[in-house]
Amino acid sequence: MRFFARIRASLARMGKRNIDLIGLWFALLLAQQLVPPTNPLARDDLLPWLAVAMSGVALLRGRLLGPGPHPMLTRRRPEMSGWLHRASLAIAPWVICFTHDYARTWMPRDLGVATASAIALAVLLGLSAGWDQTAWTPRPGGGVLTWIGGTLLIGGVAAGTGLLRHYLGDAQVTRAISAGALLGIFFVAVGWVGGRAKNVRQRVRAGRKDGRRYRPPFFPSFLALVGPSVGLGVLFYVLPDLDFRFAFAGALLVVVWGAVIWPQPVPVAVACLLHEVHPVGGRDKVHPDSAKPFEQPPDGALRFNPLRTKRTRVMHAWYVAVQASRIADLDDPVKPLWPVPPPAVPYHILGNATFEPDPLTRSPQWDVLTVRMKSQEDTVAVSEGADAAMTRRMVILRPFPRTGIFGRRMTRTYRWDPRVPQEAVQVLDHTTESATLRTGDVLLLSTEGVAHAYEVEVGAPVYQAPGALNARPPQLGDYVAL
Amino acid sequence: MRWNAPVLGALFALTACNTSKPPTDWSLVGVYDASALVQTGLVGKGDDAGGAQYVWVSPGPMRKSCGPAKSPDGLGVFEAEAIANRLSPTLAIVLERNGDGDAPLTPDDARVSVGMPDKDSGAMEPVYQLEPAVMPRYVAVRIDGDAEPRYKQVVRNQLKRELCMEHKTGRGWIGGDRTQLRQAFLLDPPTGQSDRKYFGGQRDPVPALLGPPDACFQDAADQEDKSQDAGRGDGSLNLVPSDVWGASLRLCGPDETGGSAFTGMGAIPLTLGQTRDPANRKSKAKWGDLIATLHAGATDTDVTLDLSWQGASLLHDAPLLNQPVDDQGNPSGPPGVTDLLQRVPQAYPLVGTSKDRDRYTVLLVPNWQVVEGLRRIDEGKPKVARVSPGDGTEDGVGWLLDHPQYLFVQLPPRGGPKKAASPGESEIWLNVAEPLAGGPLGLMRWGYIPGMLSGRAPVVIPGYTKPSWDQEKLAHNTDLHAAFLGAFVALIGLLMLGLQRLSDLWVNVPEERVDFWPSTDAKEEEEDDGEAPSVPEGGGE
Repeated sequence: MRFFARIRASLARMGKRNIDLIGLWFALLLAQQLVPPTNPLARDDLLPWLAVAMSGVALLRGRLLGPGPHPMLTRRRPEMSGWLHRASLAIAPWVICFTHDYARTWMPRDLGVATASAIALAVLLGLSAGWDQTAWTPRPGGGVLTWIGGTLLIGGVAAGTGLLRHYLGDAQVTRAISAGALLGIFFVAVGWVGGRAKNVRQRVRAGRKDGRRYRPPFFPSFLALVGPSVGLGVLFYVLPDLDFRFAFAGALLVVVWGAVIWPQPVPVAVACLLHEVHPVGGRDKVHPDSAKPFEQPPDGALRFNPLRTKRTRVMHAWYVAVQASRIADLDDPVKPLWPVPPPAVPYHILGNATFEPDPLTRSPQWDVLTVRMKSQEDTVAVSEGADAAMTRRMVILRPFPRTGIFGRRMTRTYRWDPRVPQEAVQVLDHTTESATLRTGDVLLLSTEGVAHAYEVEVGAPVYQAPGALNARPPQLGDYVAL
Repeated sequence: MRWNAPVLGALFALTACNTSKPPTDWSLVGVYDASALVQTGLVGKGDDAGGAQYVWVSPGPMRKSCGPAKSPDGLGVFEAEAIANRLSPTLAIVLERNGDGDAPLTPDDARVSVGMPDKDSGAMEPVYQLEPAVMPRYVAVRIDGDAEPRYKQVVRNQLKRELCMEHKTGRGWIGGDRTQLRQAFLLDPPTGQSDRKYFGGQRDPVPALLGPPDACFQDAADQEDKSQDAGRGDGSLNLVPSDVWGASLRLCGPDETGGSAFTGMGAIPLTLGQTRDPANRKSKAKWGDLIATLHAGATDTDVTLDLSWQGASLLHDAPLLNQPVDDQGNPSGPPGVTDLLQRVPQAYPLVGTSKDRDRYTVLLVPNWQVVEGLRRIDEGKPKVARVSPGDGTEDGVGWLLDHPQYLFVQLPPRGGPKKAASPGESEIWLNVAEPLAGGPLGLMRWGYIPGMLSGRAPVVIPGYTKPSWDQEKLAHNTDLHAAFLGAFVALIGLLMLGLQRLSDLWVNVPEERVDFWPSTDAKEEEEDDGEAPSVPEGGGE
């Protein structure tokens, strides 16, 4: 059962993480039906349609195949430059496609189209030059040689495959070779076009943490070049009469490799909020003049329903780290440019709060926040002193727990209460080792019969914020005025 | 990398399904009402748009030798004109060739039928066979052999009458049993009081010719050309005996031999839809040699013949005269002459592009055939011709498209028809129209009529105007298909989300009890309600 649960969890996670690409593929699937056979997009060599799919993937996921600027440098991220940068990524496959077409046909019209698209790409790159710009230029000078080398490689493949078809005709083998090579080049071009030689120089100058010389990673570009090419070659082998009818298969290939090469990044932390809430309604009537049986709720108690709350303007924000099975030195081995203080321990007032990996798939997740209790003294305590006795109770109420319909264990707080799923109530006492929080959960703190409630909101993930984890963690005083 | 394994597996499974060799030599890629489709292209183009696309003009020499062409009795127009000029609904069935080749599809290679549920099993069975329109033939007849001239004259008379019947009615000769032939030759009145006269007395479906045929005799050495003296049947709009018995054929001209191009009026134009390669518009109409070689015999029944058409042998050493026998094997009636023209294969029209001229074939079935079949099925007697047209479905093509489970387009599997499992069963043909029915409960009856991969195949319409993409989408239900896909995706997404949260509909919400809620709102509520909760001494729960 655990195996199937793991499969189900993996599929659910895969769908959730790649919902954008899945949506793109379905959009292409629908659009394919509506493209007339005489439309240039409906060519039987599938190149224009692959370029369409590639542009979609580039818009959604496209980013550098290399590591980019030094991680300690602040990057400029103007919004308009970002859009133009995205547009340049999306247009890059078309430049390759048009270059290939010109080499294939030797038609002046195709030359004009290829030239116009290259100019458009150059203009977009120029306008988006501010994107990801950093201040440090270790060795002044433009990356002319880098640009020339990249253009020669990408343009050479595009023109070479076109010449191959020009001289050898449109046999299935030549179509397969050219389409496969061009698809790989599509990915490489999208991953390279936003790169800068300066980024590599920054890293080379900084060196690695272990003192060795920094070398740009080779594998991402190799995978981007070879993986889709082989995939499309297999597709041509499996489908000898591959034509536009099977464009959905080609688009699926692009989308899948897009998800492989540019997976959704795992955030380093997630911004979380605790909204202070008050109950709305549900208050019991008071009948002090009559006794009630024991099976009925006691008079004078306030029933707090987590669905019937009203937020105040008070909120408490903190960052919660996302644990991933990775080693920071291997993630980015480049040496820091200046000493960095270690991040604050990301503990919640209740204990260490982190987004732990999914226990089934062991993959990082940032939906369920796990709090490992540092001690039990803050949960339930009775102080017996000369002045007074103090009782604290902490409960996490979860209105709709994510458990299955069948086989869920039920519990109740009091015997007169209706039965609720066991996961709906977490009572934090001295035996509690960990607690989980999701969006919508309500943390209820009751001290001396006076209650405070906080609704949890798991907010936006933070991908590159070295200082995020240095934020002050919430303290008990943030919750309850002691 | 790890998670994409199931996706790639699904992709390969999908492609593996699609790469299996097609079970038949032809695949169904479109079923639609050709007349309605052409008409939709004329919407908004004014009253004078469209117009007549085709006028039947029979070859002059045939008019001289056989008399005027008259069209089938009861219809008033040639069916080719009705199809091309949108005078009635026309069922169009487009088949795409699997693999290479240029041989046309013939009626022997395909069966188009209307079905009805079997009384016992309830399964749909083909019961009424339709006859799609065929290409006209241009026959140059030559009669050779060492048989006595009287036998040659018998063959000559038979061929000239049957070929003239094709010319006069615009329909292909398919032969028939003794009763049907006697009615066709106007020797016997049709059974019943009212005659539908599909073929001069024959009441079952007959394939229409898509253009006027032509025929002539090559061997005039021992014959005098009497075609000018033949009876014309000019005095009647309908077929009269002089149309049949006064028919004759002319002598072939020097360029009217097998393989030479036919220069007369061709068949109705059939235009292929949107394709990347330009459509082929060159006609392949050619004369064909029909050579009957008669071999002498001691008696009448010993005379044999060989028959060849365009170089292919159709009969070899077959008896010229056949003695009909009854159930006990005893002779019944006078011997009859072997029907030769019936054995000359008809061909369905081929359409294609400049690169592949014979890629598609289209089967055009006029509405009246479908209507006749449906009304017969309504009466529960699909094999019995009805006496009068009666009432019932009028747009048979539209009805059939709405109820595609009644349509059968049967093709033999690759390698020929499969033999039946038991002696009582007929040989097994595959129904390529089965996907139209939508499978169990009609669940798959959405969007593309024959399937997703075939849905982009071009349609074929009569006329000279190339069908627009909108017309193609209409024929293939493309918009419906796209809408279905979108709705399906949305439904699946909602279902997945809904099932995940289904239990939330009845799950109890946990509650917690506390004694006091310190807030400014609480004070306001106290004032508003006037009934504040008491704080018990000692607190706690």
